[in-house]
Amino acid sequence: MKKLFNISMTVLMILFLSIILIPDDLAVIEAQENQERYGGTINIAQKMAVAHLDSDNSTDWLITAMMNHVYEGLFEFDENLQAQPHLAKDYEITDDGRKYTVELRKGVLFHNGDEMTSDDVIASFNRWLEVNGAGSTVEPYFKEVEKVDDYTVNFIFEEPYAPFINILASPVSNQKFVVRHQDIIEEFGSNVITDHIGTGPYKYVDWIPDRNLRLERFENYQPSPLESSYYAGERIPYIENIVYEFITEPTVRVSGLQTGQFDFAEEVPTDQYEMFEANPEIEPVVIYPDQMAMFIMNNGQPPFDNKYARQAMVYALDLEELGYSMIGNPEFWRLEASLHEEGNPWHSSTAGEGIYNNHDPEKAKELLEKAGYDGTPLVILSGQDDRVERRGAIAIKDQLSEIGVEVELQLFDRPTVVERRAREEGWNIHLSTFSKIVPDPQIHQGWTGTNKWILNWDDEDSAKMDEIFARMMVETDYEARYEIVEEFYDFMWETVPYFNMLDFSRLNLVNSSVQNFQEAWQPFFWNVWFE
Amino acid sequence: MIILFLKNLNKLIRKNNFQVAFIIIILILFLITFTSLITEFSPLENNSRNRLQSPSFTHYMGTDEFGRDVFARVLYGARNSIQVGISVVILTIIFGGVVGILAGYYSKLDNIIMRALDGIMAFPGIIIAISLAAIWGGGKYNIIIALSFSYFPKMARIVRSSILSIKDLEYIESAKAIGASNSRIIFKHILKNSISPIMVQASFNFARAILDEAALSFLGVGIMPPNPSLGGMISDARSFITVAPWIITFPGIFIVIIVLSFNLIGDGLRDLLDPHLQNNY
Amino acid sequence: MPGDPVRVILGNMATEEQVIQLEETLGLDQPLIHRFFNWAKNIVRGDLGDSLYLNSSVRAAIINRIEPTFLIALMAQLIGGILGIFLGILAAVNHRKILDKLSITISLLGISVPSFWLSIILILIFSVWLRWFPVSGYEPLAEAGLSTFKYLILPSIALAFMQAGIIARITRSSILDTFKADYIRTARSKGLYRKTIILKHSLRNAMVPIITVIGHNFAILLGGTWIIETIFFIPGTGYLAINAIMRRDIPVIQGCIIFVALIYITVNFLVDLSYAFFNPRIKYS
Repeated sequence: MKKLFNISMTVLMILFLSIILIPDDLAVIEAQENQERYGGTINIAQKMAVAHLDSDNSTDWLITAMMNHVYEGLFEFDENLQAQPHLAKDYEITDDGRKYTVELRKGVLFHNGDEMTSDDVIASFNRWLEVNGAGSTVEPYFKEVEKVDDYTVNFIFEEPYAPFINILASPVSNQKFVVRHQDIIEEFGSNVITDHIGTGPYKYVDWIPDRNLRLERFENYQPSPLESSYYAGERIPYIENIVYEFITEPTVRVSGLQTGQFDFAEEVPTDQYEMFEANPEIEPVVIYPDQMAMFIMNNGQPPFDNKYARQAMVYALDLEELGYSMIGNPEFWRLEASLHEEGNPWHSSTAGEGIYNNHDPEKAKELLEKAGYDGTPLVILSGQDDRVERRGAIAIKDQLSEIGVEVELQLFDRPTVVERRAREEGWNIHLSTFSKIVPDPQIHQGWTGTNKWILNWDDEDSAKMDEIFARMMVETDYEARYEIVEEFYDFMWETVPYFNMLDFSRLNLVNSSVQNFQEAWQPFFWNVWFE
Repeated sequence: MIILFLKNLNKLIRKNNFQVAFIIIILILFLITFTSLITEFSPLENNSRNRLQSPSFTHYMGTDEFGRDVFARVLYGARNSIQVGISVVILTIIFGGVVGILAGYYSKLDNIIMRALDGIMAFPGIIIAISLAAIWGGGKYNIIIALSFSYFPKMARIVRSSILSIKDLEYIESAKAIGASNSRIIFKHILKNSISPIMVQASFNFARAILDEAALSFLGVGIMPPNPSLGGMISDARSFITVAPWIITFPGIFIVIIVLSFNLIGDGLRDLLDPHLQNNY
Repeated sequence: MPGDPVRVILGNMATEEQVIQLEETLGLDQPLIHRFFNWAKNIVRGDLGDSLYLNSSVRAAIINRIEPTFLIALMAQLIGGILGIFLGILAAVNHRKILDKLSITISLLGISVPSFWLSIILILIFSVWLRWFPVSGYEPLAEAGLSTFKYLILPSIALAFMQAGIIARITRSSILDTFKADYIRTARSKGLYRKTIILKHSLRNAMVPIITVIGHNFAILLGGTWIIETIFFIPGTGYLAINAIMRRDIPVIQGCIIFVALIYITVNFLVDLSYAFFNPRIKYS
């Protein structure tokens, strides 16, 4: 009996021990597998070169897309478009929405080895408020930022500010707030930053402006404890080196990918989609929702200082034809009147009713007459380098000629376009692309309202728009806020300071040997590895 | 003088190469002048639902990414190129002529002018043209001026050397003695002497202007969209080269045909009028 | 100059203060004359200033990019030169026969084909379809050694085509000219084998105009490399220059102009020197 008991206990113990041990073994195997993933250089063909790498000082989202690897935000968006704490550990909203207390993660290291503390966050935030486009829309409502201790910061507003977290993490354009080392802020102030010390999984190596940007793995990267989901959560830098090359010719990006020169090609022509799908060496990456093609008007100059002329433009356009002209393959574009896509909590199915996608040349002519349009040729100012914008300009000129409106096309290189559209006169129409991934409608305030962005909009309508946004900002109840947002949509389609023509998705290509690539709106290369 | 020219022309026409080139050019001129009769399509009208169609009986050269008829665009594009070519040649002759005459006739100005011309000629014409065109923002008229600026020094040199070569000749002296005015001397004798090299240079300039205009339009600083231009079409067609290779082939072939014809004419003229002239560029 | 580099650097949201401040830093606010004299003064010292965009001095930017341009120009000139001289000799020797006519036609084609169009066709055939060569890019000699040339072959061929045409034509006509010369007739009457006559006497004398044309055309070759580099995305001085022109990076544009002028002077100097080698009758006192 005792012998049996002893044997059973031994067996039980062995079983018990092995149960404890086996998971460890599995972990070792997994670690080994993971170890094999590390290494390699990924070559990315990017469609345009950037003027610099300072996301606060530009609205070029390409900068953020690349520097996402170097800098991180307090909050980052996950694949469900929820803002997750990233460099922040946790946060609390008190005082009726006026005070945000943010607790920082401890032990986060900068590329130079220093630990991230409140001082870095406060320095970066003050700069963001002053220089960044999104920051400067927050600034009028902001009171002060307060250091509680080395790992806790208070953000205090004058009035309750509902969209704060969403704006901090905003994936739109360059709006996201990122934490930079305080020494850098001190060195550069509001000037363009040319030296980069961030907390991200990759550190800045080298940048030759019209050629390439090189990043390399940051060995002491401290990942977020949350589960990986797009920009939030754990980021593992498997790949050793990242090289972004600036290749403006789409066919070269494609061929480069096909011949193995590049592992990722951004924005390629959609006409060859079937060919790409059939090729086992290539994975097409279609991002949805992705971008909106925008028709921007100079509201400060005739004829577009009159809202009837602006409305006329919407009726004048055959949006389907524009889709074919600008993008091509109909799989890659769709007509959508709402600024937020279906499935988004801020989507509206009634936005733009009656006016959007209502190709009515007669009505357009009527409205133009009502607006007192005198027949002066309209100037479309747009970029040569961006294919979508360029084709849009050519297509629109043709369509407007059908209602008897003459158009002068001014297509220039990026610098000239940027300079000229900042002027009050000399242009009537500008084409641009906005990101469709807008987590909070407040974000539209950045370019919708009195004298916002390049619109030169300043009349009683713009004042009313400002007022709508002011109400939107302080309303914390979702239902009530949604109603305000619908008011915003209706007013947009009535006054039309600018409008969205169509939604489109970019087609990117990635080499099949790249594993675990996520189809996020700004392509990133952590958590991916080579087979 | 006119009789002399016609006699020479006769000899010229007998040469084979020249004949072919001449016929081609006449054909092209015919095509671009009567485009509206030849094709019912507009080079500008979009029909994007019909994009990237391959050549067919409706669209002889297919359609481009906006559904525009490529054949119409090639013809109108060629017309634009030839307009640029003619304007450049005329301007070059005028400016080159004036400067060359000044340099050749007035030796005091000669030095300064030659230094300046050498300075301009140190730079490849295309580089000057790109820089000027980009700075002025492109467009047909800007590139006509830019190209004329880069070509005229050569022409000036030709005119100048013609003048220098006969300035001291005896019959000039005797004409002066008789009392003929300066300007009469210039226009009668010097012109007669220099017209051959000018014409040869003009043909080659024309050919080169077509190529350079295409290059400038290709780079985006020449004829601006949506106006058709052969170089611009090649640039746009690059994105679609694997799905619609015809858009890039036809404009290129047209450029080659036009340029080749004018080069042949230049050769023919040179062989006939002054075989010792060698420098084409 | 239209086009504001300052606004490009600062981006959309630049405030007026930021613009003014950057202009001051870059020295763009001073009167034109003042800037010009500063620039000229610096040039003499070898200081070409700093690029507005590139984060480096103009001199460094140009020097870093000389290698590919130099290699392409050299290769194009060599290929074009050899091919051209060969065609020219072929034509001259077979004057008025089929080979002559063929050769003339090929050379004419050479100078009539736009090099940018030819490049794209070459890329389509050799890079995309056949995959013999990469579509774009460049690796410096120091890193890639001989395999650097795989990036340079197609660009060089595209340029060489026109070079060959030009050189073939001048070779043909200057050799034909020398045939008429007295001393050739003398040599012929002595019964020397035709081939020897050509290679020894004619070519040597014909070389003077040939080299002259090569020298003058080097400038055109250089201009051609500018465009070719942008098509193949080769980081040479041409790519630098064209990007600078498009972005209004004024210091770089000025630097490239000086660079081109220097090259032109150097090449012509070399050409002049070579005269003494080819035609002993030209002596330098």
